[in-house]
Amino acid sequence: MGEKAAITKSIFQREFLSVLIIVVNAFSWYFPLYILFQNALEQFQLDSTLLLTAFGIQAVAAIGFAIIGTTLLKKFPRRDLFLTVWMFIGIIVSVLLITLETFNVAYLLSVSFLSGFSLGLGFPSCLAYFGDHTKVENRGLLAGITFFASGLAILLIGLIINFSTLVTGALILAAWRGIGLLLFLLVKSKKDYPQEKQFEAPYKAVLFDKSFLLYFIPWTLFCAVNFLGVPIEINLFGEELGSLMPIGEYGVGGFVALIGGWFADTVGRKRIIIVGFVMLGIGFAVLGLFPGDVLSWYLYIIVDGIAWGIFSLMFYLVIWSELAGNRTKEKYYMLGVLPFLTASYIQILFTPFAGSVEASSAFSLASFFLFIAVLPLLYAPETMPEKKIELKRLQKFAEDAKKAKEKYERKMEK
Amino acid sequence: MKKIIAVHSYKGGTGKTSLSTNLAATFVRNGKKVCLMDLDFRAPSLHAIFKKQNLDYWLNDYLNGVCEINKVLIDATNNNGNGGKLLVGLANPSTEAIRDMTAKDRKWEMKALGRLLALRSALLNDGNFDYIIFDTSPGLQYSSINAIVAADIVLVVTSLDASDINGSQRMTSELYDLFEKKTGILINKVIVDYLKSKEEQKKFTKKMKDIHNLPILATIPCFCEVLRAAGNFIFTEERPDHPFTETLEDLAEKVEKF
Repeated sequence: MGEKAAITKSIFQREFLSVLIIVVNAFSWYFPLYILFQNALEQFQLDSTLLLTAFGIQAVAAIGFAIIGTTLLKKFPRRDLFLTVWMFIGIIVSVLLITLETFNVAYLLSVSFLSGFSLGLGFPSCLAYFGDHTKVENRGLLAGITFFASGLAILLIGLIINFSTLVTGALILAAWRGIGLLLFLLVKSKKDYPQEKQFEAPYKAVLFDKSFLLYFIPWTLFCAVNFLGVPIEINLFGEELGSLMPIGEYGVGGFVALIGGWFADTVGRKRIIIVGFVMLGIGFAVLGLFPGDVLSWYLYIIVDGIAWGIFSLMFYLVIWSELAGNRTKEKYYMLGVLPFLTASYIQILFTPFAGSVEASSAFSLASFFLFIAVLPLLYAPETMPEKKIELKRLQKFAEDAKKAKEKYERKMEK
Repeated sequence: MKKIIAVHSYKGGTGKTSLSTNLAATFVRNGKKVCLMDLDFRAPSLHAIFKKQNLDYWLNDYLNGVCEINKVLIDATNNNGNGGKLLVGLANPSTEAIRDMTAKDRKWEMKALGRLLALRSALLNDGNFDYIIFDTSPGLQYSSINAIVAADIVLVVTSLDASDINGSQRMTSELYDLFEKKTGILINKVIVDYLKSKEEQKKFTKKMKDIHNLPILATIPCFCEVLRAAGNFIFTEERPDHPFTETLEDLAEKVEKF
């Protein structure tokens, strides 16, 4: 079967559709929910302690329940049942956002907790579901399609939420989560897990796995550098250009994810991640050298989008599944999303101090850390088997050779 | 009808070169004009069968664009009075040449494909050859893909070794579909017990056809005499009455009609 035919077949398979629905719905439900929650908090003009407590509770709940979720999953007869319950909780929590209509500290903290809980509980399982229902040969491309679709859905739902009141926004999110649940129930794969037997690995074993660490450390460094950098960037660029950054991340990132996914399946995961790090490192270096130059700002926004596209696809969806091998994937994904969840909260903590940091030195330091982050990657194993990469290369050559022959024959006929 | 035939296999040592040579000799005995080419540049072997060592030009040179094909081809006809003709193109067996061919990149291989495709007009049309037989490298690599793409028919040689069967099966399903080529399987070195009666032979062939999902053009028993010949001579030329020669005659007929 040709590469194109194989790709088309894998995209339109019921198995991938169920994965696409659950992952896209999770991303495009949670990020707008987070925006809605933020908007609601802004209108109360809370003091910084309460604000940090609210976001802190949310982050702790998300992380805590992500850990609990990986254990709780075993109590369920099927993973898709667990995911169904998780999505249903999402509908209820979305509706509960309405309580933020009137200011009440108890409501506020409860909603903070519940929103973290409703994300964390099933998020690792949702990502592991993706890993289990995709094959290594085209996981990159399928992850790219998933991330691209998620980006589009986030932009669309985010836009609607921005023009909605709290009550309408909450109801839209509840409905969106409900639609996701309904579609998932309709197309969910009959196979809950792939055929091969999977073994349970304790957290300790995952954390001390050298291959895991060689990917985990660069990803953690990226999250730290990126999230700590955001408040400084907004200070430097100004609110207007700063607001373009998410568009860069989701817009440029979405397209890059699509192309990057295909490349990841063709040349391997490691190479594409290194490209992302090098590009972002260059972006930060230029920003460090010319912090006052508008061109360097735009260049940074573009390379940041490219890096986000590559990293989101690789570090949310692809790498952990492949590092897990024949072990259950939930713990790998749980630890994999940890740097993102932690760093996004650290960003909130750091924001008040961003103004006192000198942009030029901060970006030069960021660039240095990103180049450091590449070092472990040089020793990291390629998670896509070399044989598969070679086979793809040969298949591509065979297709090109066939085309060359057809062209030659046409020329001879003339 | 004039044809280019590529003889390929998943693993080395399946008897690809022996079958290519003997098939070529069978065609020649039937009065055909045949060109046999050693495209296994990583492990050349036809030079040993035809006992040629120091040549001015090799197939390597043709593919490198150094010379034209007529400079490479050597007449190896064993005159049998049937009017057949056998010309061979040999691969350079020197270590340097092997190293050089192994290091060729994709761009070079694409150019080499163009040179292989040009053989059709140079040999089949202008040279009036009936068959060109490519003895390819085993497994999947650029040079074997080129040979398969340039050919009209592909004969995949496999033994009964489990890894060979699995590998051939994988190779044909993963890559051969792309080529959309007429492909036939030759099962070589089959234990004679499996082919004792017509009935058993039929059963065996059906089993192999189910495994490979491709037509089985020949099931060739493992003859000790062929093994003993050790590639020192062309068996079908020396032993025209041997059952191996009969099997090859039958194969030549099937390939002609295929």
